[in-house]
Amino acid sequence: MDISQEQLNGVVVVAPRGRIDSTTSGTLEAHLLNLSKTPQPRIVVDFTNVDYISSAGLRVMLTLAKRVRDARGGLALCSLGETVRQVFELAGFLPLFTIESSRDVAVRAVGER
Amino acid sequence: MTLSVPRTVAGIREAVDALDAWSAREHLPDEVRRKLLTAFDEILSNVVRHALRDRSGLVEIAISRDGGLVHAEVTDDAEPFDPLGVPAPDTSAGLEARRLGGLGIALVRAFTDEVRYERQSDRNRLTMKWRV
Repeated sequence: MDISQEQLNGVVVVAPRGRIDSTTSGTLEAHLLNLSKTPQPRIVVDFTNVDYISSAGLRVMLTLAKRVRDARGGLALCSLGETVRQVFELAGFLPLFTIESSRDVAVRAVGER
Repeated sequence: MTLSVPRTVAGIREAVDALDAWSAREHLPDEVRRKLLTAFDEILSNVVRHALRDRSGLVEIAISRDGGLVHAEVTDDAEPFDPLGVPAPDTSAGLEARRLGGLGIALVRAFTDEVRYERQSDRNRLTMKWRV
């Protein structure tokens, strides 16, 4: 899995590309959990280039959310496609995450914490 | 299309790549393609998880399109296991109490138009259908 990353106003924006499924979620998990080890991590996960996400990917997002909260950081997701959003909804994940329409809004949301 | 893949993560990747290419050849709408591949990832990762003691076996996949209907079958000769018997997850718990068991199967149910399990001739057989 390709994962691109950039820093915007002290927020790390991570943009995975392709499927987030049982074959790729390990790579994404290692990448994100490594980022969450910094003090008060501020992370945005940008789903623009994500084709779809299965329950293996949801598990990664849940673990990340707990780590970031425990580290008193901030986490937001952005640019979820229709199928990805549907998966989050079916899983009852929408109330657990800050989900924004664009990268800029998500970066602002996390930066303000 | 039919294919056999090993009951391993590499096998899942091989199957999903082949199914993705098949979906493109069949010009499936993107929404159907995504739902189909998500359902396959859930089913195949279940098979792999429940075949830990015997990774030597194969999973057989058959998929075809007949007009507006896509029909898929996943069969294996592992121990009897009905994935549809897994209870639905609690999707209302907060971050701390949240458990994800059963979520994959809930996604399969939501992302197929029909799904059925049967044990037949010492094989697990899962049938999935999608209307296109």
